[in-house]
Amino acid sequence: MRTRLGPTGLAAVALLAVIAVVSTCAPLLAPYDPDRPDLLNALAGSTGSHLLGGDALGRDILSRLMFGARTTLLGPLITIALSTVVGTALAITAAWSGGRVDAVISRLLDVLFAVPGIVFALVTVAVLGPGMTGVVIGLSVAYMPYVARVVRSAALRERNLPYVAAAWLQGRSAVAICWRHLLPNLRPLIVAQSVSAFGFAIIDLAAISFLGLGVQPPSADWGLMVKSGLDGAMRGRPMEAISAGVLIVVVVVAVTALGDRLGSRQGGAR
Amino acid sequence: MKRRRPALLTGGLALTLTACGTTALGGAQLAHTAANLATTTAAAAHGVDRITWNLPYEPQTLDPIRSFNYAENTALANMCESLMRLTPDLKIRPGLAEKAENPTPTRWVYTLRRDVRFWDGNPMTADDVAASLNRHLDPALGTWWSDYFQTVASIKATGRYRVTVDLKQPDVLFNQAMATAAGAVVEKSFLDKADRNLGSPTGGLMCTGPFEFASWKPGDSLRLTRNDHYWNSELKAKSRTLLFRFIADETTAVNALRSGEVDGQYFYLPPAGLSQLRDSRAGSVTLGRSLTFWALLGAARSGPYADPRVRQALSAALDRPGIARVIFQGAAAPERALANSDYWGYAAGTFRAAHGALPEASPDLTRARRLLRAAGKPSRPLTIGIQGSSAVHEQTASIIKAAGEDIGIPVKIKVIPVEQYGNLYSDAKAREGIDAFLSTWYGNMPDPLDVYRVFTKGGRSNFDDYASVDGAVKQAQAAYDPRQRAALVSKLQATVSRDDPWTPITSLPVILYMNKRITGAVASFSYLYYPWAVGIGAR
Amino acid sequence: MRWPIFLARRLAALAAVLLVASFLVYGLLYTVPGGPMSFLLGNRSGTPEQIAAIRHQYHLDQPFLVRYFSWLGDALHGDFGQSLVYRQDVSDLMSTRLTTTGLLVLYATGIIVVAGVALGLLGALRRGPVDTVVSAVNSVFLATPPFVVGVVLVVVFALGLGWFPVFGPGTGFGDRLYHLTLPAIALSLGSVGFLARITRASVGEELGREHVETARSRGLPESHIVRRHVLRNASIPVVTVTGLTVAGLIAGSVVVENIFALDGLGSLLVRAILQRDFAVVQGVVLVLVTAFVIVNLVVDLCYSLIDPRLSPGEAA
Repeated sequence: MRTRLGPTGLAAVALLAVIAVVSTCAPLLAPYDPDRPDLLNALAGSTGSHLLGGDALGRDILSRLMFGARTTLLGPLITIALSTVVGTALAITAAWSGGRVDAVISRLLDVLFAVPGIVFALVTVAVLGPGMTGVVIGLSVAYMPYVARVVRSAALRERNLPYVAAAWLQGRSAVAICWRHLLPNLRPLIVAQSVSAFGFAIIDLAAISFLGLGVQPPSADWGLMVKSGLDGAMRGRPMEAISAGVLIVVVVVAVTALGDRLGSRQGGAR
Repeated sequence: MKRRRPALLTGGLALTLTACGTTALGGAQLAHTAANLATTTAAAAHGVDRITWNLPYEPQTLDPIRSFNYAENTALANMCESLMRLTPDLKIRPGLAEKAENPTPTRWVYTLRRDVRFWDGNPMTADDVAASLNRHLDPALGTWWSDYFQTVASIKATGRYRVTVDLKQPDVLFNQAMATAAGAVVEKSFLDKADRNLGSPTGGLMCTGPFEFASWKPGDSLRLTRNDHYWNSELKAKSRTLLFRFIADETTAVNALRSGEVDGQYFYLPPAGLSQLRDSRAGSVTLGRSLTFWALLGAARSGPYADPRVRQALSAALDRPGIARVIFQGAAAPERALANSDYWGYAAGTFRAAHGALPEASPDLTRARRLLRAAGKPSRPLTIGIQGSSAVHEQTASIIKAAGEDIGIPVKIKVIPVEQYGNLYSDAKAREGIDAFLSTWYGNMPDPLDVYRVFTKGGRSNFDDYASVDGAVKQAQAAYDPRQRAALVSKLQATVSRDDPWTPITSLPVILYMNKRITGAVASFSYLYYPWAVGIGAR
Repeated sequence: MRWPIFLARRLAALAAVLLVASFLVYGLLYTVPGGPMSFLLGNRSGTPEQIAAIRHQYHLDQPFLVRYFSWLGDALHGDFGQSLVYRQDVSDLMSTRLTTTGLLVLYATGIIVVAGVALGLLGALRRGPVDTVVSAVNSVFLATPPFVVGVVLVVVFALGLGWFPVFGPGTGFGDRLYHLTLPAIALSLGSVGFLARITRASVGEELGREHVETARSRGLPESHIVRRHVLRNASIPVVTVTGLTVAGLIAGSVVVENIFALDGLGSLLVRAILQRDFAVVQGVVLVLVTAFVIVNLVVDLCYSLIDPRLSPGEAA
């Protein structure tokens, strides 16, 4: 399996692993408390004690990046988990039942396709108020049809394979067949799809936080840091905005590369 | 008379700012003291055709009785005049009334000028004044100035040019309030005709001031034109048109100023782009004397923050000089009392001595910890409300949070969108679950009592029901003798400063930016009530 | 399937989708905890007068479905009600901002087509290190959120070099374009990467086809082969992707307008959400969704028109 990911895929996995470890162990690794202002260090350049310098309040930028990885990545993670679970369930139900159920679900998905993801998230924020909850719910719903469409067509194909009929004849229940056979066979596809969507989710959530509708200050979040770093940039200290922006790009590049590898492996196998 | 001197000072200050602006962080180290704040800017040589000015947001109305905020009053001040006038050097002088007499402690008699005409040419009489002032007494109209009219029993025209106000109890602040928009005069026949539409984009206004209401396109602009028949030759407008824009986004506003698209703006909080404005070759920044301050307003009626010792502890832990230097980029001064030195319109010596006796503005962690030990560990975290999309709010809150956690007070920050923030002031429901919130605040007159008057029983801004100075405030309101009043106010200031119902953080100068094309705007806080634009013209 | 039938079916489907989507948009805002009243009042307790005025304005006394259909009926006539905050018709608020957003999206589309196709061709026709570099650049473009691009552009070109104005829409056509340059680049960069990828892949595929090989073996000049045989066939997926991208730009403009403080539909929407300005949120979302759906339909139709191998309908 490893060899099939190729060097790019491996590098992406390694990078994401490092970021996962750093964000999980941020309390142990971060040199400073990320929320602790130090007015003497405000907008200071990088020094030996503050590698990336301080933000407008003198908070250590490196520490904020480490802690910020948590909020920046956790939201997309939940979004993808939610949309994948719901989308897959709907897709398999539609594919398995066929007929009217399939038609209703497919039309529902068509409607959801008509609303761009970020607009949907903004509507939920309008209802629930600014904050991560509304954004995650909105994006989960908006991403769901993309998962469902891909999974549904694959499940339709799978459903017509002889082993399903065989299992059916053996008297297995529909749920058991879906759970034991269908789902495991679809798993590589679902994983590839989720990984790619994860990249988009990072971008969308960071953008909404940047707009001030997602993660609320003073929490450290990369999208928010790009926003607050803009003031520093105007005063000649772009480090906060640049470093947070670069991290977003690097993570998304890695995730997309990994998604591509998984996707093409998927395509090659069929 | 005394205007030239501050004008020269302003020139000097502007130079300093430009010089500092060339350093790496745009003069962030510049600190100001009350002594170097301006009241006016250099006089203009001649008028220009049009001045474009930005307001921090679009006014909700221009009806004087509901104009009690930055944008509303900035615009209104050039159109509607009041019985008294708050001058650029923050003194109260006669306005539409040539004199105000006080025959008994509960009566004010205003003798009106006979040469005043409204924009439509009709003369102003006592009927217009009485009708305008009586609108504050009609609960259905919803005045925002009710605090100043609580002591009023009746307002009557007692002659063609005489208005008599009878009070239920002596109130020295009433006459001073007549220098604000609370004392603004609108023509009676126009009031009757416009009714509730008064001051709306369609209703317009009919006043006596140097600029006339011309048009108001909602969402776009408000246009004022010069009143060519203005009664007061000393305050005749130099320029022809004053066009207000409503660019609310700070960064956009700063860039519109830098590009010259807009000629000027008053800022009540330093914009993030302040250093860019200071560095700008297109114009200059002037810091003006001001009654505005930056404070944490207590709103807790129960819980740990209702305990004065917890408030004092938090206050003692605050690094005010650091906040002024870093967050306000030097355009603020650390302040230990709510009322800064610009409030000392009388008996300044008494106030200066009293102010000096208050605890230092710099942090004292030992004292803070001792106070908190006495109060006991807070049972729950404090929740501080801050305004969304404001760097100054967010950054001050972070400092307060860190200071609180240093001494053992956990602090939670609740971000409230800017569009809903105003509800905190007017609606107890909006304050639920909030122990304190950050705010700029200003008294309206050069009298510290006007700030401390907030802390009366049932006062609409007494958010935490602080009652310890209720009697003292009433006593001071009745003290017409300045020295006696100064002594009383100093005493109650000491009590308020000890109990910290509101925690002062910094005093805020007026931040005035003008394109170099123009000069002559008033630089001080009186821009809210004084026709500040009449002097503007070309250099 | 024949064209008129196909068109009619697609339009009917579009109308149905819009109907349900509008119902969702309208209904969602009524599911606020505390009911529509708490939403409409924001965080205030509201005087009885205000409450009565709002009840009247939003017909809250009537059943939900009646309200929905009367709103929809008005919306079809271009009347989206009045903004609570601006005291202006929502349609007026939107119409002035539509130009900015429309211009921005068009400008960005232009950049995407030119830069995306150019980069894709460069990668496909010059294999080797050039291709590797172009592919890497494309990946970065694809992964960079518009707001990060926006911030970088502001810092480098507007603040650092001073080549472009930082903010605002500008006045007059030329000045507007000048003001919109940085926002359009920020909006388009991700799609440039995407389109370049697709172009590279489809041109690469065409280059390897039999008829191209034949043409080569006949000694025809390479530029002729590329123009006559490769580009024409490779253009089909490119056109499709461009269309889909334009639909995506409508959503992306929400973010970009906010960075550059452009007064477009997107910034109107974000501000309305913060102000809880109900009627504006509904109106803008409905317009954005409609634009999104229509662009998607047009892309579908174009796809069916361009590709002679497909009869109408198969494209979808």
